[in-house]
Parts: sequence; structure tokens; C-alpha cells
Amino acid sequence: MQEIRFIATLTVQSALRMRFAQMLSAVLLLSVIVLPSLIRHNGTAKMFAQVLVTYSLSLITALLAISTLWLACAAMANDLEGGQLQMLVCKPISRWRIWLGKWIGIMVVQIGLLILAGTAAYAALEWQARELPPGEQEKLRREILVSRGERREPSPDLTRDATLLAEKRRKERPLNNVPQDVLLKEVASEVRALHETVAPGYRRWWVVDLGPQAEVRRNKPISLRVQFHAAHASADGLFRTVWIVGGDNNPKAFRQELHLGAGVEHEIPLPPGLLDAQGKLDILCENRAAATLLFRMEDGLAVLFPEGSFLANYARGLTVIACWIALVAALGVTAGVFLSFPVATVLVVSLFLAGLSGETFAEVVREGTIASFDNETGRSEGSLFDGFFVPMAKVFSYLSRPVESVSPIAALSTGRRIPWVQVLQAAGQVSLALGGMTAVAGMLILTRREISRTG
Amino acid sequence: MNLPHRSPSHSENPGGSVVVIRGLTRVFKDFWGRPRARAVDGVDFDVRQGEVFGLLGPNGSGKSTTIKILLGLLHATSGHVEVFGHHPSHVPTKARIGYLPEESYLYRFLNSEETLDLFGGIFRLSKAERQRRTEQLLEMVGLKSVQRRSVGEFSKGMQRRIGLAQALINDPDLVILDEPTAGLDPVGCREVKDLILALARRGKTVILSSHLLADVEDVCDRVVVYYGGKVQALGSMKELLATPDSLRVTTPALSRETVASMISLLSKEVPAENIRLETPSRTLESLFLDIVEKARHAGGQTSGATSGNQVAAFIRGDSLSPETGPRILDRLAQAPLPKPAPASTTPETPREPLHDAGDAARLDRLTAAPSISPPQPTPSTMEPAPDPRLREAEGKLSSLVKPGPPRTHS
Repeated sequence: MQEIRFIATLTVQSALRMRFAQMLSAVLLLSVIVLPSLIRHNGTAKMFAQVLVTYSLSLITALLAISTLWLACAAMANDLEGGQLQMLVCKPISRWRIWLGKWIGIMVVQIGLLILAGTAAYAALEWQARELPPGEQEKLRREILVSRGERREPSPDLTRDATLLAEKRRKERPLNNVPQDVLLKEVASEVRALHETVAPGYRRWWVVDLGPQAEVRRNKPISLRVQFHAAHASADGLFRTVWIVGGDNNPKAFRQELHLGAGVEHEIPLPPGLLDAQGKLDILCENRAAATLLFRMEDGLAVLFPEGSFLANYARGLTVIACWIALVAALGVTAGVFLSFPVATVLVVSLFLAGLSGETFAEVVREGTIASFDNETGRSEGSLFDGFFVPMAKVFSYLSRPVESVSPIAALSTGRRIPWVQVLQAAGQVSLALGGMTAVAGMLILTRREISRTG
Repeated sequence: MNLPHRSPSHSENPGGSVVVIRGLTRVFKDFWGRPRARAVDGVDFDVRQGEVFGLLGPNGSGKSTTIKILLGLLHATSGHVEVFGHHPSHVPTKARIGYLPEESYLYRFLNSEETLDLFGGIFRLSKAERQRRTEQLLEMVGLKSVQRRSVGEFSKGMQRRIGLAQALINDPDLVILDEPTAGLDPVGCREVKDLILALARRGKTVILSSHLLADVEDVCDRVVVYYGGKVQALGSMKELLATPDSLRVTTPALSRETVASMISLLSKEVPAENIRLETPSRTLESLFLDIVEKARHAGGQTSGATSGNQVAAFIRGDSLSPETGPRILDRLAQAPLPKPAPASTTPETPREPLHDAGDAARLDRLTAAPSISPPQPTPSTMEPAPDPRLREAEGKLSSLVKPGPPRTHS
């Protein structure tokens, strides 16, 4: 371990003596302290959080990711080009330890910078929150600078339901000329609509289980996060709904008529004591508007409850960002093993940007083409290059999925709790699996390659 | 964990070969895999334990490629290479090797002390041991006074010195020096050669690659001469340099009569035109060393490397204590120089016996090597000789002294 420690220390020394760490610290502090104070917001807690938390954390993540790429590529490629690596590999140290030492050194520098920037951003947030009106300050403390867990209704098995319904349809009428996959696709949409739409005058009923900690949460203030879409617009943009939470027959149940806008998130605070004996919450929404409302299964309704402090949640968010940095550092060091510094930097930045375009790749995979896709007919024009780009998109989509699934910034800016499971998922999928594969590749290449500047 | 100190007696192969090379070939290829250059071509040689082995050859002859293959930096295209009985990529074996590359590949942002501490750390030396060795090595290479300056600020020669120090931090059994005197001043060159002799005295094996023939000639026991990637000559210095059909006699200044008698005597066996008589001049090296030594004694300050430093105690082994250990420059002044001036007319530092038989034998051999100094005029005067042979000898002497300054005949 002593050799690894020395290589790591050397990498840290390099970052400090080249003024890299100092320069980046200054840029980060400027970005999270000075710049947010210059950005105007409309004085609401939500906008304030959006600007400060989302902006600061996104900027920290982007700056650290790009600087990590640069530092990691330089740490290996420059040593190879400058001949310093020759001196190291002539000593009794395995080459994989050199790789690891460099990676650890980079992580020490970047995690140090992350903690510095994260702390500065939090301090700036607290400082600037004092300028908000008192009511918004209270909302900020209650809704955003908190850590709230959320529970949703478990998703129904749409595939099974669709299969059953398709069988029923075939029995009801002759559908011999309709292929099974087309029938299944159509029936699946129908099943989904049954779950998501609420016609005028109808009710939608959810039962959300608050889990094993329900007893603890029983007497804490909980709230509903609601978002719906409307089949057509209303005159004033609002839709009349009646909410009954805690059981229709319960005299102590929460009942309220609310006029809500479509397409935005609403938070409905609930009094404590609405859970039933099993720790479940009974929620009923009656559509009294003239339009059909659609509550998507993914984000239609969630029950929020306090769980831990914002600071701890913030720390978990920064830990998830650190997991990303670990992957980026591994990519950079590995690219530096077999490419010159400029080429390695360009390659890794390209990969990084490709990783950020995960949704685009997912769309290409879903539609099966890079050409235009008609959502009405489900048909595409197709492209000559689909044979190459669609499989590539599959690979990129697969690789970027774990990275995208563990984004902490959105959660922090809305006060949602980042569960430990998500932190572990980031550590496991992003750092250990993807980062580990990259590390093994880098170590193998370094062990096998020749290390000499000249022939 | 500290690496065990290995004296030669602990070696797995006492008296045997430290390096074995058989049929070594290395072909450099281009991007498309087509052969571009045959840098090393079917090379065979062994390096025995305790010898100073020279790799000689012009630039691009394959010396550095061979060294890099020995160190595992390059792979052999074909052939067999063993270092201490292992493949060059064997990591634990590297604990016994010290390497000075042909250029400074050190971290420019580290200072001398940090550089040695880094490499000592990679050799798993304890902190106390690293500090001890760092101090001694910096003293040895004359960088003690500039140990806090970063290596990037150093001159080429100073970078060479710190490079040499890092190559010795692990007290290696095999020291590989690629062009060790490149960029060094004459004092530094002499100190490096003295260091190589000190290493050899302790039974260390030294591989020295150079195209500076004087470096190799001064210190090597055996050499291999490369040209075009192939071995052109291989053998001991004695075998390669001996000229058995000639003899050289060196004496202190003699009287004119004695010289004339000697030439007369020699003329009986050898034609007069085959006899060369000359007064060697002092070499520029000895003059330079003298000036630096005087300046040092006069307390002159320098912001660069200092000279006249003693070989690090851990490199010398325990045979010499720091108190009794000779200072290199002092020894140089006392020891015979490679091109001695036996009948010099300028004052010379008196010579004293060498420190050990090994040095004596090596330096004796060096003094027997043919002089490359041009003949210098002698200030001695000559008497007319009655004997015809003496007259003939006098004629020869006169021809030798013709360019000299005018003198009054007594």
C-alpha cells in the first residue's frame, strides 16, 4: 500500500504545484457564491431553490466532471509522454498500482474540491434565503430545505393485464388479421389509460402504503404531491377537484375542494393522523371539471413525509456526485494510458457528452430509427444508417442508464429524500460496475503496453 | 516493510551472471505493422556479477533499446533475456536495480529531497531510512545546498546528478547507467566514474552505456561494442585494447645523459624511427579539477551543484566510516590521472598509494593505455656526445626539442 500512497500523494502534489486545484477552487467559489447572487428570481421559495440549488449543484457537477477528465487524462498521458512513467515502472511497483495510485490522487483532489464547493453553495443558500419574504422563507424551510421521503401506489402489471385483455378481445370478435404484437400494443395503451384517466364526474382511488416506518410517520405532517394533465383546456386554466384523504367514511378524513392547474406540480399539506391501522393512506380524487384528467403512473401522485435532515440529504447528494466523479476519473486515467493527452481528452469528453444524451439514445432505441417517427401510426420512415446507429444507441443507452437513474440534483431542489439505496446504487452501478470495468481495462493496457518515449 | 539489504554474498547466483541475453532481437514496426527498424539484431552477452560492463556504440546502434528491454520498458521481438534469473517484467527483481535514463525524466515540480523521498517510498524504505539515504545522496551528488529548489529549475548537469542519486536510493545490486556523464562538468564526470569504481568495489554490477569512449575506458572491466544493432566486439578492456608489439616506459624526469644513454641502448634493438620520446603535458581535466578545488578551499560560493563530495556511506558499505572516507576530489588529486604526466615540468600534487588493489590495477591499466596527448616540447638541454650512437641519439632528441623555447648551452 505504501507505493500506492506515494503515487497518490505525487498526483495530489502535481495538482497543487501546477496551481490546478487553487485555480479550480477559485472558479468554483466564484460560480457558487458570486454568480447566483447576480441571477434574479421572482421571490418565491420554489424559484429561489430552482436557481440556487439546481444551478449551483449543476454547475459544480459540470465543472468538476470536466476538470476531472482533464486532470485524469493529464496524470497518465503526460507522464507517459514526458518519460516520468519510465522511472516509476523501473521501480518495484506493479503497474496496476500506479494506475490505482493516480486515480486515488485525482479523487482526493476532486472530492476535496467537491466538499469545498458543496459547503460554499450551502452557505450561500442559507445566506441568500434571508432576503426572501417571511412567508416564502417558511415555505422554503418546510418544503424545500427538508428531506422528505415519498411513496407511490405500486405499479400494476400492465403486461399481464394487456395479455388477458387481448385474449378476451380475440374471443369476443374475430381478429385473425391483426398481428398479436399490434394487438398487444393497442390493448396495453388501453389498460394504461384505464389506470391513468379520470373522466368528468368520476373518481380515482389510490392506496399508498407508507411502509415499515408508517408507525413513526403516523403523527407527522405529510403532504400529497399531485400533477395531472387535462384532455382539453379550461377557461381559467384551472380544474375543479375534490380530495378526500383518510377514507371516504371517516369523519376525521381530510376533505378539500381544490382548483388546480394542469401540467404543474401541486403540494397539498395534510394533517397528521390520517393513516389507517396498517399504515396505509387512502386517497380519493373526484373530477368535478368538464375535462378528463390524466394522472400518470410515474408522477401523478406521491405521498411525502419528513425523513431526516436536509443537510444529511445534501451530503448524500454530494456522495452521488462523487460517484460520478469516480467514474469520470477512471475513464480519464484509462484513456491517458493508451492515447496522447489531447486525443484522450477529446475522446473522454465525447463519451461524457454521449452519456448525458442518454434520453436521446433511449428514444432512438424505442423508435428503432434515427429518422422521423410518427407517434400516431407508430411507423417510421426508416434510415439507411439505422443498422449502425440503432445498435450503437442501444449500447450508449444501456451504459448511460445507471448514470441517469441516480441524478440527485432534481431531488435536492424539490426537497425529496435521496435514499441510501440510491447512494448505494450510484456507488455500485456507476463507480463499481462501470468505473471498475474501466479501471480493469486501464490496468490491463498499462501492464501490457511498452513504456518508452523513443525507440 | 523495508526491503532487505542484499550484499553480493546474498545473491542467488554468486559469481554468476546477473544479466543473460541470448539472441535478442527487437524490430520496431510502423502503424500498419510493417517492420521499420531492426534496432537490436541477434545480440548475445552475459553480464557477470561485480563487473563494470560497458555498452559502446554510436548513436542509434541499439544500446538504449537493449537497456530498455532489460528494464521491461520495451518488449523483445525474439530472444531470451534474464535479469537476476527472472524475466525483465518481474516486479520484485526491480528492487535490486537502479536505473539512470539517458534524459532527466524526473517530476519537475518536486524538489531534490521530495524526488528521492518519492522513489525511496516506492522501494518501501522506512521514513528514517529514506531521510538518511536522501541526506547522504544529496551530499554525494553535491545538491545538498539546493535541495529545496524544484528539479525543473535545475541545469541539465544538476538534473543528471539528482537522476544519479535516485538510481542509488535502494542501494541496488545492479546499476544501469545510460550516458551517465552526459551534461556533467568535468568534476561531475570524474565523480561519477569514481562512484562507479566505488560500487564495483562493493561487488555491485554496473552496466554503463555510453558513446564517450573515455568514460568506458576509465571504468569498465568488459565492453560490448554495438553497430547497427549487432555486437561487433565483446571482451575485456585488456583483450580489446592490448597492443602486445609495443612497450611504454614512464619515469620521473631524467638527466640528459641518462636519456641519451637510454636511446642509445634502445637503438641497438629497435630502429631509431620507431622510438618515441615525449614529455606528456598536464591534461585539461587535471587543470580544471585543480582550479575547482582551489576555489572550493578559498570558500567560493555557488548556486549550482557543489563538488568534492564523498560517496554516500550506504553506497560505500560499512568498510569506510564517514570520518575516514576520502573525499572524492582529494582522492582524485592523489590518485594517478588517466593520462598521467610522469615527467611533467609543472608542479603536480604528490601521488599517494591507491586505496585498494582493485583501483590500483584498474588505474595501472589506464596509465598503460596509449597516450592521445600531442607531444610537448621539453625544456631540458643536451650535451654533445662523443660516441656516434650517442650522437645519433642526440640528433633524435634535438628533433624532439626543436619546437621548444631557445636555451643557452652550458
